[in-house]
Amino acid sequence: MVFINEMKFEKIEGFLDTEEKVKEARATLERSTKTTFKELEKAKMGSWEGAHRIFLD
Amino acid sequence: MSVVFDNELYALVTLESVGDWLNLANVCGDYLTADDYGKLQSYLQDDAKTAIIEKRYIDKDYRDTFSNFYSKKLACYPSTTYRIHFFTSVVPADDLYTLENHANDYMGFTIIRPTQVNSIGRTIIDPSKIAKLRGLICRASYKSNLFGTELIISGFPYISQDTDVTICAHAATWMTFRYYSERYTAYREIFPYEISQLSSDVSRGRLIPSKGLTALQITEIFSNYGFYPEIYLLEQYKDKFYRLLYYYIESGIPVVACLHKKQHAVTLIGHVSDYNRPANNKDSEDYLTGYVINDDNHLPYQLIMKETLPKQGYCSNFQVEDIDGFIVPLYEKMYLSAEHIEGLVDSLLKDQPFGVNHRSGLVTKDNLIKRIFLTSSKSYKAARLKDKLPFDLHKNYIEMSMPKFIWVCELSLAGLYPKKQIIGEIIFDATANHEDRFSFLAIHYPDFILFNDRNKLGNQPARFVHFKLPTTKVISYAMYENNLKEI
Repeated sequence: MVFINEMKFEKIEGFLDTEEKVKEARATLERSTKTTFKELEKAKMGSWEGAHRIFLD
Repeated sequence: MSVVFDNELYALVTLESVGDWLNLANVCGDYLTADDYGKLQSYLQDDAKTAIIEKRYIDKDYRDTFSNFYSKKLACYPSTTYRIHFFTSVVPADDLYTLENHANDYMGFTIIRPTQVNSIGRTIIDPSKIAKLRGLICRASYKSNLFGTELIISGFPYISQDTDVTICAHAATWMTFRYYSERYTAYREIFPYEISQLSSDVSRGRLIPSKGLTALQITEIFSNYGFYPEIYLLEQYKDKFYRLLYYYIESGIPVVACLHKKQHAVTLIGHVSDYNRPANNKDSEDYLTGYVINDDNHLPYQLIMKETLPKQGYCSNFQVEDIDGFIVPLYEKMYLSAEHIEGLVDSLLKDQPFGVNHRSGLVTKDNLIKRIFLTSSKSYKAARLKDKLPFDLHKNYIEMSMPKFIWVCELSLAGLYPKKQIIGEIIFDATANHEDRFSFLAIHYPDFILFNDRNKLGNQPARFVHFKLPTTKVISYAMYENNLKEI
């Protein structure tokens, strides 16, 4: 990613500098959100199923 | 004499006493029901000083229901309406041809339908002209023409149900549709009868006279119009439910709220917050005291307060806790929903390698207050050009390739949030798949910045550009405030 507004700041050595580290970062996020996202999926399905019972006049 | 003139087509009534309001009722005759007269008087009597009435006004929304429904009845319903324009100043008859001199005093208009039940039709009122109203709301500009003068109103549309073709849920969706069609050219104008016919796929039996709608039918109406709605029920989302509702309102997206136990639907159009409240959950929703609603049984811009808080001003008898479902009309390219952003933000802030405790030496996760909202990248870039970021990072945001809509999680601290100041943000691509955990475009802490190239599909390190920012203290800057406008 190249910017016209060049950023002349210090790079963080050893941070996400290999494919393995990036892969691990992605896997960590997947692990830590797995339960939450599964619950959200259930809540979404439950909402669609329950919506026909909510009568408004 | 408050009735300055009253002829076949127009009437001008000054409104300086209770007696004057009775004159207005007399001018409107059988069109205005006693109940609606009472509502208008108590709503406007402190601020309105003049009413100009057009007596044979062809209102597009009433004409739609007249042509498709009322004209088929035995009783002869008139095809025209009364339109009442309100001004905060006394408008002499001589000024009718120079109404531009009263443009700043123009409050807006209300249509009075000859429906005999619930006579208040399409109504656009500028809430800033009514002293008792408050809050931050979605607003759009509307034009009305009177005696050759174009008058502008900034507000949110309102209509009451006619109980024949439309019920509360139709009225709630109409208000949302009309807001979008006035504000964005991408959305077409749609009328009440047309709305009532949009729910045919999941309906059983006749659509009119309307018996009421289910939340699923409201969703179907939104879908058939061209939105991509999401539905949220309290029983399913539990403790997340009210935060998710707040995120959408903070995004400037009006939602239809279901009050199932009351069998009622209202449109949520804004919120009121108290920044002196403690942020116990470290979330912007902690400051919320209530929402601004358009409830078709009352006039617009009511407040619906949280259960424990006092009702001050123009308040509904309902409370926030009565809301047990809501339907949010999303634009096609808003694929990521609020719940996924909230879940991902928590993990990003907490975990290695992106977590704030790992990447910043200046702030810790426990101190951060999150403010999540959706906005257009166009508006965000424009706002950031005005309210700049430290180290000129706004220039990089402006340069960045972004989708039409982005989710933003602004980060603040307890002492800074009341001053509308933030110290960082995480920006997400709203077109991303929720299973893609690298859906963020940028992560910014006071001493750390990371950009993620969304065009890179895999795990190459080149997708990230990151730097340590040279600061030993937290630098704050203005939060983004473009989605809602102060009354």
